[in-house]
Amino acid sequence: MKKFILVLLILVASIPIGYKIATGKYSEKQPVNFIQSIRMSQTKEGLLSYKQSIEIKLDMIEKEAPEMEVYFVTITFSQYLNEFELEDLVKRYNLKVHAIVGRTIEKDTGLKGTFLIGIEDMKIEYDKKDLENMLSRNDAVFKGFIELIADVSKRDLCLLKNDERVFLVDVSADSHFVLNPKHEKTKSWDGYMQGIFDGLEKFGLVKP
Amino acid sequence: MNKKILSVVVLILFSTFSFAITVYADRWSPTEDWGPQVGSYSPDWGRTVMYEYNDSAYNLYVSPQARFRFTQDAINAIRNYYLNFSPTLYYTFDISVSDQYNTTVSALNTTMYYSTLPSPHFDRDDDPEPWGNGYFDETEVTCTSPLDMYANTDYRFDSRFRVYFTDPITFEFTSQMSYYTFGEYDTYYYDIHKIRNYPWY
Repeated sequence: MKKFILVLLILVASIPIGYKIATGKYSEKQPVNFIQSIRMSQTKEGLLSYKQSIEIKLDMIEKEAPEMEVYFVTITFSQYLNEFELEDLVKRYNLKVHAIVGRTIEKDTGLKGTFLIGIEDMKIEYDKKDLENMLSRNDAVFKGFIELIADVSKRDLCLLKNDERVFLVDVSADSHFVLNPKHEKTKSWDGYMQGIFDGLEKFGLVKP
Repeated sequence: MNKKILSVVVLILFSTFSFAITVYADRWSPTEDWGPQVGSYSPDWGRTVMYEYNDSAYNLYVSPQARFRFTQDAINAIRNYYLNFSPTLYYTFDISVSDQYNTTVSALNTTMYYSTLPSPHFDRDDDPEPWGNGYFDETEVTCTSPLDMYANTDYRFDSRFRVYFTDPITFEFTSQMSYYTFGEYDTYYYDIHKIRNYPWY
């Protein structure tokens, strides 16, 4: 009986490998897990150790990558940014923006809300009237921009990660490190790693 | 003579104006609610509405929206799927075009999402997997911190689709429990709450 269970276990365990080979997805790289960041930052200690684990990757990039190598990143800000601060950050580090994430508060209930705007042509331009419209039809009041999904060159990345408005530049959805078929397919914000601003709010780490 | 010219001008002005109104006015659909659902994780109350509008460049969009509320039992079920189930399941709210081969609307990469679900991860898909047909027919939001979800709270999800032709289609409003596999979130359970026609007018 024990042997039978063992054989069964081995069979079951080999299903994913079989699947990977069958679909040609087998590779050294693991597939991206978009919500690993959130999963690991359910406690303050978890959040800080997640940050450290990403910083190891950033150090690796700083030491080894060519200057113009481009990375697909999720930037979690250290504070709520307004329109102008966001624009300044984008220009200063030549960010090719895929999407902007912002925080709102719902009128009457005080419920936290999140919006994501996808950007065409990777500029910082978006239809402000459309955003205002979407927020007002949901009784949401704008509080600030909290995260950004963008492409950034290694040279700018190394400066960006030390900017005081930035809590973390997360490279873990980037194809140098993982398989991310969703992102490869559209080269847009699809397949982004989730930012961790929620954690900063929860554990009182947002800069005033 | 002058009067004639004036009346023609007024007529032209008026007809352009009324044309502009019929084509470019924003409009709301009537709301439709749902009641108690089958899925243990499903919100037992929800309200749907669609909003049709033009952006600054006069592109036509439709935003299907939902508000929904969970009972404590549903919240307990969602927490249980997160804490004690293998694979770990996450609550997802999905608004999709029923016909995956539809070519009249698409959730572009410039789509906009809004949700009050805690720690939302937004996603869109071009079904059927893996290649689709170039038109993104599915928008969804996954709550990645299910322990922060509460009963008797109105959660919202609002997404938008670009409308190329106003051909009759249907939108489905669905709750899902989804799990992570090979770089994707896939549906484990689902429960369709509402199917609505677009255009509704």
